[in-house]
Amino acid sequence: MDFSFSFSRRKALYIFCLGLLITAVYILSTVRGAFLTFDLASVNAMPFLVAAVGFYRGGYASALAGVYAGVLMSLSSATPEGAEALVLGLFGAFCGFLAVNYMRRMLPSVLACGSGLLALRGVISATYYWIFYSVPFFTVLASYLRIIAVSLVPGALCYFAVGWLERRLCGEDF
Amino acid sequence: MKIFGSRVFAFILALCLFCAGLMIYQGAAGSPSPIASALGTVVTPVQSALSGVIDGVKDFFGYFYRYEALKEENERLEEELSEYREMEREYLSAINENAQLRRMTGLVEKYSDFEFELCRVSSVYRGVAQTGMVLNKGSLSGIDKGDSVMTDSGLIGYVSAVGPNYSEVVTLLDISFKSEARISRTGETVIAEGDFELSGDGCFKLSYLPRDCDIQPYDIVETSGYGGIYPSGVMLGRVMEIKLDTSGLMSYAVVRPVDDIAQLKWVYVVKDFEVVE
Repeated sequence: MDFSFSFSRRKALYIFCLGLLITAVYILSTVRGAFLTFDLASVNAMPFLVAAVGFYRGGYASALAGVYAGVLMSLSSATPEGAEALVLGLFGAFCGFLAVNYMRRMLPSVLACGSGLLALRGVISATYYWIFYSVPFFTVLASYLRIIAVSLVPGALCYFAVGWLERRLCGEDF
Repeated sequence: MKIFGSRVFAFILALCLFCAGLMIYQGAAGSPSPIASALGTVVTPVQSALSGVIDGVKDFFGYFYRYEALKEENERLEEELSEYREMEREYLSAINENAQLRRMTGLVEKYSDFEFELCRVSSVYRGVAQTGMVLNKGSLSGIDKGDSVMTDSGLIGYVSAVGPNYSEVVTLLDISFKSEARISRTGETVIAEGDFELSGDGCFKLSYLPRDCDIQPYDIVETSGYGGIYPSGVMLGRVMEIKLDTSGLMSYAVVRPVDDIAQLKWVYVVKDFEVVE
């Protein structure tokens, strides 16, 4: 969970590149006609990206990355921007906590965390739509399972991209 | 009690307060926060440009990978063309008359009291129950929250949020869409709303219809204009079928919008119109 505030050029470059990566993932996820959307199951790689930052950089960095990603994601959804930012921000902090205490930094951990968040959102959404719109619970849940299924590969790519950034830009003095 | 004085707790608290601030701002102002506006201002032109690039690439390569299909289609069309040429001679005068009538009732003349803004569709998003799009123009072009969005054929949805150079649109297929509508043939007023099950097939429904309602397949559904939210008489879609709801007491009609929303590239935002009820 260390996040030193002594600012170096390399750290600034790392933060800039990470912001750029999050923005690129957002644009690719939402641009019309992009290959990242399959029928009703839209790819949502953002939780995996935030989780990857959590496992590499710790809770503070991933929480901030989550807030940024959440504000971006709200541009293309009806969810209030603060809500999306809060969910991904807290999720980032939680991933950092898991990375320090319970889980190792490896691909399955990131995939499990990202899938976990999407599944949790699926259960909450399914309950909401079941109560307020009488939509069958498992129909909505199945939609989220499809989202998880199509997001795993992009999620893994996000993990490798964050790892690549880490190796290229972060040294011992980071 | 130690946790309340810790640095982690202070960080989480600051995070929650920041996000709550964003939500309160959006709720109070009814528009995206300055942060989201700034991000949208930067990101939307990139999205728009990327959409253009993707369209170009798809059009270019589509010619190659669809070559065989295009060849077959061309042969079939040539056969059809020869048949239609024969028919053309017989019906030439009628077709000319029809074309003149069509021009007379063209879009511009029909909606002469509308103030349009032509916008490019930057992105279309289809969530589990949400279907919307982002347009490349916003408040700087005079677009306001609640403005109707349409094409030459009919209504698409309404503007739900506006940034300086982008607008978010809730479409007819969104589960939150609900509007009064009218059956053109009978003048009957109905409720049109998005439906979870039907949105997957690109349709919405007319709800709460009596079992003996006078609605038939291929009936045209249009905006009623009541309340002044949407212009009156703009086509919403065509009735595909009538079904009984789960209670068996009421029925509902499945309606297909006039356009395939996922394929739209350009739309008009109606910035102003004369309210007719």
